This record gives sequence, structure tokens and C-alpha cells, in this order.
Amino acid sequence: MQKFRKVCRFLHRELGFLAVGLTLAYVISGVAVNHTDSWNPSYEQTRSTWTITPPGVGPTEQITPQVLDQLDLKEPIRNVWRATETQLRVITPSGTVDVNLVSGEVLSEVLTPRPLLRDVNFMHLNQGKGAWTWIADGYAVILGILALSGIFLVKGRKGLTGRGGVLMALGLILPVAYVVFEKYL
Amino acid sequence: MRHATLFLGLLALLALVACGGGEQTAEEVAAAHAAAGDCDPAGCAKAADGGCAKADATAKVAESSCAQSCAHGAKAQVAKADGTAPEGKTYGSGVSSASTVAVSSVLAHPENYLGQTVRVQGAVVGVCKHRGCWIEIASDKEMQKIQLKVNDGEIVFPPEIMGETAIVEGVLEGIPLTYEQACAYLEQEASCQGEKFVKEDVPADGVTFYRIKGTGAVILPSAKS
Repeated sequence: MQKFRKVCRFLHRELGFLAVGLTLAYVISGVAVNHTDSWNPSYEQTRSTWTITPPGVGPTEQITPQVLDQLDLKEPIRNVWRATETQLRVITPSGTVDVNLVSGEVLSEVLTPRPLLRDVNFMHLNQGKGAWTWIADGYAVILGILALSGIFLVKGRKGLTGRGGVLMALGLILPVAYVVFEKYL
Repeated sequence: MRHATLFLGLLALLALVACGGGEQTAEEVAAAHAAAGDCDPAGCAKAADGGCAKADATAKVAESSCAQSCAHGAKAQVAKADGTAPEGKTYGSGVSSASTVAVSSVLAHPENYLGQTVRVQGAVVGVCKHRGCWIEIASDKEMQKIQLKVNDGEIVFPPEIMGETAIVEGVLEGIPLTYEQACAYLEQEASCQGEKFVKEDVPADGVTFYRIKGTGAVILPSAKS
């Protein structure tokens, strides 16, 4: 038993150090992506509106130069799309500019990557796929080993047979209770 | 020794749990989208029951190269028409069909393509900003677009691809929406995109929303002007 506890301590210590970086990255990202409904965790959306002289609903080839002239955008135009009879969408590398051809209302939306958050979310959500899938799998296994080896680190009344066991039971009951409540009640 | 066995047993159990997740059903996916407030018509069409009447087996998929040059739609690049895989940034399983169908053809006669794998090409004019779980491809005709929807997380489209030319592939599906469902969906979509929802534009008998259930896409390299 003594030897087993020693192995657990070794695994917990070494893997714990190894996992610090990714754990912190995933902690930050985890909180960020938990609230996707109320904010965009990877990009900051900046909206601005102004008005130009309405060019009317003429042929797209005709009105596009007029619109672009008035918009006088500071970045290259990537594409222009006639979304509806009354709406022209101008696409730039940083976002979109929607122009109401009748009212002249302009809605510009710029998406700026959030520093750090964009990258940790990219990792956490495994958007890059490929090799990162294996790294993330390996990290998940490490977390499992950390959790399980942690159970056996302490003996006595603070360990599995005492307070530690009670806390572990609480930690297990919480997700089970949630699933039961969500699915069956 | 007893503790070592317990440790290994728990580790094995953890591995089993991790590997035990099955495929989600369409209903579960739709419910998940609805719960997440995702702009997905499937979430609004609870009665859609998959929604897709299978295509007429005899329906011939029109093969067209019209996606190459769009006189009326957004500017799109020309992809190789010799059946070779297009070069560019690949998402998901990429594209494997040899021929491209015009978006306008798909939308004009969706019944001919329902349940079939289609490959379309056009400029990316919309991207799901929150999850990157769909993109909209401009048609070769003005004021038309088609949505490519992918399973959340399987493919994530970044907003940086807006305006680029995409070749996308997937199975065409139709989701019938009642008037109320269509209103709910379109209002939610308008809200997601920061656009104005006009209730009067929604047909009284509802709409069938056609989209491509995407398996892959290739974003062509930016054209040098």
C-alpha cells in the first residue's frame, strides 16, 4: 500500500506540473464558452451606424461604385453582395458593411479577435483538429490520472475513508443529480 | 494492492465513459440547437420529423459549371473544373464530388436534390458568429443564398472566411416550417445577425427552409487583384 501511495504521489506531482499550462488555458476558455449565448467569446463585435445618400435600387453594377465611393472604407473590399432588393452587403477583411439602398442607413460590423481568448478557445474547442486532437486526448487522460491518483494521496480521516470520501461523494452526486433532474423531472 | 486495483478499475471506467458516447439523433441535435439559442431552423421545426422527403430516385442532378462565373451574384473565384480536388483550406472532409451545381438550380428545383449530395460554389456571405456552425453561400443569382450547416464542433468556420470563395459539399435537406415557426426562426436569425426582422415578409402558409447538411468545404485562396 505504501508503495502504491508513493506511485500515486509521483504521478500526481509530475503530471500536475505538466498539466498546469493547459489547465489554466482550459479554465479561461471554459468560462468564456459557457456564456456563448450572451457574448461572443472569441471575437469582439463592434457595430456602428451612419447614413449615406441613398443610391436607390438600381442595378448592382451601377449602384456599387456609388456606395463604395460614399463609404470610403479604409481597407480593401473583399466582396460585394446584393442581399435583397434594398440591401447591399460590402465585405471587408475585418467585417461587413450593410447598406440600405432606400434609406441610406449603413450598419458596419467589425469582428476583432479577442487577444488570448481567441487562442485558448481555438484550442479548447479543438478547431484546428489534426495533431491537437491527440494532444487534447492525452491531456484528458492526464486529468483522469490526476483525479484518480489524488484520491489515494492522503490516508486516515482526511482521506478516502473520511472527509475525502464525503467530498468525493458530493462531487459525484452533483452531476448525477443534474442529469436526473434534467432528464426525468 | 487493493487500492491499486481500485485505481486501475476507476481508470478503465473513466475510459469507458469517455468512449461510450453514441451518435446524436436528429431530434436531439435540433433540441440542443434550440436550447442553445442557435440560429437553426431545425430547432424551430419540432414537427419537422427529419423534414426531408427523399428525392425522386430518377431525378437527375444537373451538372453545371455556372458557379465559375457569377454575373449577378457576389464575386466568386473559378475552381478547376477537371474533377481534381480544389486547392485551398479544407474544412471537414473537404469536397469529393467532381461537378458543381449552381445554387440557383438547387433553389429552383430543390425537390430534385433532396437527400442527395450536392457540391456548390460561391462567395461566403454569412458565417455563424458565435459557433461557426454554418456559413451562407451566395448564389450565382442575386439575392439568393444557401446555408451550409454543420454539426457543432465537427467543423468550425471562422469569420475570417467572409467574402472568400468556398466550395462546399453536403446533403440537401428541407425543413418545413409553419408560419409561427418561420417567424420564430427568422426573428431569431435576424437577431443573431443584428438585422431587422420584417414579419410581413413571412408567407402565411409557412416556408420550407432548404439547406445543405455539410460534410466539408474548401475555401479557395484569395484572388490576387
